[in-house]
Amino acid sequence: MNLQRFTEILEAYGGDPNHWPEDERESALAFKSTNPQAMALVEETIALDQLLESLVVPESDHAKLAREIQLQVANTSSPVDKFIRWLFPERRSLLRPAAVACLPVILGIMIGYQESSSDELSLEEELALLAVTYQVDDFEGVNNEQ
Amino acid sequence: MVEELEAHVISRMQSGDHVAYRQVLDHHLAQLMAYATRLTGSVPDAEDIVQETFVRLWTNRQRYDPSKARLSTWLHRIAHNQFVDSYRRTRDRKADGDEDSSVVHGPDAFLESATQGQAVSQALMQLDERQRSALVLVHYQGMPHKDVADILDVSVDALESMLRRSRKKLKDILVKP
Repeated sequence: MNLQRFTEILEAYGGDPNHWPEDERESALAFKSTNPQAMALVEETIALDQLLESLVVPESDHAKLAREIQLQVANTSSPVDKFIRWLFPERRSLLRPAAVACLPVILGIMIGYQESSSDELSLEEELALLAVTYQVDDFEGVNNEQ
Repeated sequence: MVEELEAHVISRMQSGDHVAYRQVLDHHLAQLMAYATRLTGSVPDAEDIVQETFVRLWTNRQRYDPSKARLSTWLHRIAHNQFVDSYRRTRDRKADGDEDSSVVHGPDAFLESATQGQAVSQALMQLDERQRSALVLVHYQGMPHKDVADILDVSVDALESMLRRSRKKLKDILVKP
């Protein structure tokens, strides 16, 4: 460490040793403590540092911003992502997945019911069958008489 | 500087866990807002940058490699790139206007008409986008120099030169001889 390098460090990083290069911090501090010129340079540099510290960050509503970000993220998700998120909400409830898993069973029952219902004859079909039966009986009766 | 979140939270976020993503968001939001606000001098502009940064974090979450950089460094890099894009769009629009953005105002122009903090904010606006970002990352965000160099995509030596020029310019603007 020499005065030239120490000056370069101050000009780039300011007077706060926490901002100095980590691998040169110790030697720079040691140099400063033994060199009056270095100490004077630090005093000069601190004036700008103190001005920079006067910059205040205005407050903003972080909670509102976080909600807006999450909303936008939700809108960028793919339809598959959205379905999976709907299926497994953050509450970790299994009610919704269980209900969805039952859907095929419910569908199967409904289809089965429809199929079995269609085995019953309508009134017209029943009458048509009876008509055929009587015709057969009449035909056999004619043959017997003959 | 904000401490890094636990690795398993980041890993769950990368797998698509929205609860983990919310944890990452809550952990880094304030720090990124401070960075973006100092860069832009405007809360609405900062919110736009931060919003876009976190959306990109989600959509590109699987590209993040924890072995190559801290998550805060990665987030700052995205925010920095957003700021640079916005800065260049504004600069191009101003190039067509009457305002000469290359004029550097002296100390009197700032300190007489503004509070000290406002004067510093206006002085920062006189730096170009990379100088401004370098100074904010090192001086205000307190980030390690190697991380800042990665964010700006420069060497540590180049970062040091950039900082030296930034501080000299600010000194000329803010500090009376």
